Amino acid sequence: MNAAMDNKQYSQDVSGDSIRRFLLGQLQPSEQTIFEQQLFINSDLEARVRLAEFELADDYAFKRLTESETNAFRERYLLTTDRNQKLNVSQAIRDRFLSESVAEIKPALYQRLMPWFDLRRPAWRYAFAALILVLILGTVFLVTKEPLIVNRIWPDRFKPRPHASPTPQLMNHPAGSSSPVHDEPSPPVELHESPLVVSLTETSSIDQSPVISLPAGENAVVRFQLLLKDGAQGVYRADLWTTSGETLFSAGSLKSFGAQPASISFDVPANVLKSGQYQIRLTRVDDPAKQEVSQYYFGVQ
Amino acid sequence: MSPAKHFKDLRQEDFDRLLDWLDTDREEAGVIYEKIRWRLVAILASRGCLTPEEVADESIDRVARRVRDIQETYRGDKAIYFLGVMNNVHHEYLRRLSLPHLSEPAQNVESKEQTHLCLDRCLDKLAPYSRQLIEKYYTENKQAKIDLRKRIARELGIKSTTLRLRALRIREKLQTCIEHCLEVSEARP
Repeated sequence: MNAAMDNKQYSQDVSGDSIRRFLLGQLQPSEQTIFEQQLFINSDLEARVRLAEFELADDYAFKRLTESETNAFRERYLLTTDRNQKLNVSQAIRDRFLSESVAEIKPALYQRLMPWFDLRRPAWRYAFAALILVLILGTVFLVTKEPLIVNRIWPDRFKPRPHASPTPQLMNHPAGSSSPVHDEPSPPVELHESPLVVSLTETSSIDQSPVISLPAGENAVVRFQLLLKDGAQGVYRADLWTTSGETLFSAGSLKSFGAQPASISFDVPANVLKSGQYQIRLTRVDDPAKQEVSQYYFGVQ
Repeated sequence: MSPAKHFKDLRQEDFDRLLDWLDTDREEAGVIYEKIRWRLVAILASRGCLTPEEVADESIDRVARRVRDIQETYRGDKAIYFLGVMNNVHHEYLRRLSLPHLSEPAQNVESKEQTHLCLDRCLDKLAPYSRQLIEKYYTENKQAKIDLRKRIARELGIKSTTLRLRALRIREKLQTCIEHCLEVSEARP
């Protein structure tokens, strides 16, 4: 009973400063020995030391310690996982409640937000991978399902080369051209020669094909007029083949004109033709159900 | 080192015998064990031992191995016996070891984030009075803090020292709650 009273008395006699110095390892050797023995047998003192641990961690987190105390805190206090955890909580409390030192809170807030913008986080990697996948799938869908949209989006330079038109002169020199006007005199425009017009009917044999002489001139063209046997209106594609099976020239989006009989017209640069036999295959492209091939033959001297 | 880790180094029968020696009620024995360990660690840290938890656990191991021999004859405060053994182990430690001093370990960002989340959860669990008190207690710093605490004590009709004790006990509860919260969150995949 007396021992318990003595212990309680000792605990009351021990100042908060002594407890603090014990935690920071700053007691004199003689004080230290007595303090250690009392700590083992004095529950009141133990309770006070436990609470003082929290207070010291708070003071460190709130930067209320002197420089020597701060050093001692790092060397003597932060030696156990339990106390490190106390300090973590003290720092969290500081961040949560301290309104005065904004400067101290800002780095903490920054550190809290940083992980969300850290590109090394797996979440960001997955997000980027998913984004790339969506873009690829979207592009595939766009190209396969909506070619018209692609045509609108793609710049002209990425579009397929234009096929020969029925009237190259009109194509190259449009009437309503909005090209800028220069003051300096422009070189004389090179005029196209008049095309050689060749009318072809569908023949079953190469022997019955007409033979043409190619016009002279670098820009000479041969205009083929293909007579359609059934006179059907539609959009066609013409391919010029050699007898060896090589495609020399193609013209798409060809519209038939005339009624009885309807015909298709397209121009071929004369310089692609050499002496020999040729075949023109005509394909209906606007109605897949009516796809059919008409064949025309001609020879070049 | 937690008792669970410590348990690995110790034979089960020695550990059981140690607990029986401390108290016949196993739960009470566990409480006494934890108190003794905490005291050993606090003293070793105060002495500047760089591995207080390991030295404390080694001391407890030695006591546990000796219990069979001393339990019939030892008289006096059992806790004091641990202090004596710890002094020997610490002397051995001082003779064989000289390590550089530790600095404050940096808490990683994720762990810090989790601590903040747990703090918010644990604050929500506090009774309204306790929460109000702790919020006021920690709101200001330095001179403003002293003035504020005097004002709070006056409002509550208690002494500043009593206010401090109440706040620190709430702080202790918060610590326990946050550590539990962190353990639970770590256990989740």
